[in-house]
Amino acid sequence: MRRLPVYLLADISGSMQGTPIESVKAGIRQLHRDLLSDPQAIESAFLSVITFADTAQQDIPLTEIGQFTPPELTANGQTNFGDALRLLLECFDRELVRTTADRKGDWRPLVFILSDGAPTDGQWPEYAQALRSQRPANIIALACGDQADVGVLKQVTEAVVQMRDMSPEAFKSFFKFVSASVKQTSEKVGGLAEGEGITLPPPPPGITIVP
Amino acid sequence: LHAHRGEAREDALLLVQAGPLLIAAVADGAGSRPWSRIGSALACRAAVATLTAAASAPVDASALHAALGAALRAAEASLCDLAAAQAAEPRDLRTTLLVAVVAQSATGTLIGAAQIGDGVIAVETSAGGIRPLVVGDTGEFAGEVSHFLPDDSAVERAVQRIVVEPAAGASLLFLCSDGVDDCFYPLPTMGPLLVDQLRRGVDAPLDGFVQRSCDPVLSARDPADALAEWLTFEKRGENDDRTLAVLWCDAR
Repeated sequence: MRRLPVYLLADISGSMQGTPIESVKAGIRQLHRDLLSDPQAIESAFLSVITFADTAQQDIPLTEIGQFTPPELTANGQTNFGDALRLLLECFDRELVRTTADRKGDWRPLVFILSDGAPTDGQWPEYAQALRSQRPANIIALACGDQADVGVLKQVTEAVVQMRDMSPEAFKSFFKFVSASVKQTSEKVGGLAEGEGITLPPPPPGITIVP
Repeated sequence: LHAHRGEAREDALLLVQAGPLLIAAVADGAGSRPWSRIGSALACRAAVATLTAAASAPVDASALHAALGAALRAAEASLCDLAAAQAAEPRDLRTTLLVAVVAQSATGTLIGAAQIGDGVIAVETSAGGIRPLVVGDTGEFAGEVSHFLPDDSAVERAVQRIVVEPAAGASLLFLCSDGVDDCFYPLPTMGPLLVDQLRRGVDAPLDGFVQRSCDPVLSARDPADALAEWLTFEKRGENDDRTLAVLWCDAR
């Protein structure tokens, strides 16, 4: 079976305490419910949650939708973005199946990065460069609020969107966009040229594409 | 999924007997491009027309090789011409193209194959194994194709890989779009099971498949109808268009 791997990379540093972290948790629960109602997503989408603060950790390994349990998250600490990117690359190496003569590979993964601040580590440019050059995934980054460093996210991926409002409703809209993106990607039939970007649904009101 | 939704398929197929040549073309329009279903149909038509024209001349290995190269170039030209006439981008017609020929020559039966993109052209050997003839242009991840028609260099690359060889014991030659190939990947391992189902029918589905019992396809009164019935199998996560063309190498 070929999987559509979906990684959520969520900033849970101290600045996400309170409403933002609760909104992220609610958003992941909502995303899970949405995907459970979609036949194509149930067949192919696999979800993983990686969080980062002082260090990064994979809270949920790549798991099929029917077996996925939304994680409990607590916000605290710094923003070690480099460790998050390092862990993401490590998860790719460990979890992704690439096409070989003996086995058909996964679909190219979808990665959604959420961050409301700027990195506090010095390692992130090295891993951002690795992601840019290897392009092992279709990566969409969300800059949450006014303090998010859009320039940093742009060094990871061209596809950066910004959500200035960090209300629960805004997070809810973003997770609906994530859900629609996963559904649309899991419904695709027929090929695309290697490395060709996928088409995602337009972002909802309140979320703008960063040029 | 296209059939489930009543949408146009992107695969195309043409089978033609022209004098000493039995010609098959299978193409799969790129799902990411808007006019790919037209590209796949047009590519099959142009390739088969070129090979049909070649059937009037004496056939040998060299002539068959040249005719397959001409078929690929004709397919490319037809897509580029249409794109120019419609002020569209050639890539909007992107498609794979698999062409195979069983030819009766003065020295015996020859098989020829040319391929751009993914899918597979393979023969069943005298020992019952399945041997792909051309290496497909598959990417690192599922659904990704490293070369499409009419992209730059795709034809010249494919011409370098054209295969023409004596049929020598091969009993079946078949062409699959990726919708079938992916379900039976890797074909050298899974292909014998596929061929066995076509010969004997299905009384119990293979592991991972959901399939109703089917009568044998190859010995059916209407093999095309039986093949269409066989192709309705279900397998988790496999929703692509499915095309399978089966040629008998001893066909006259």
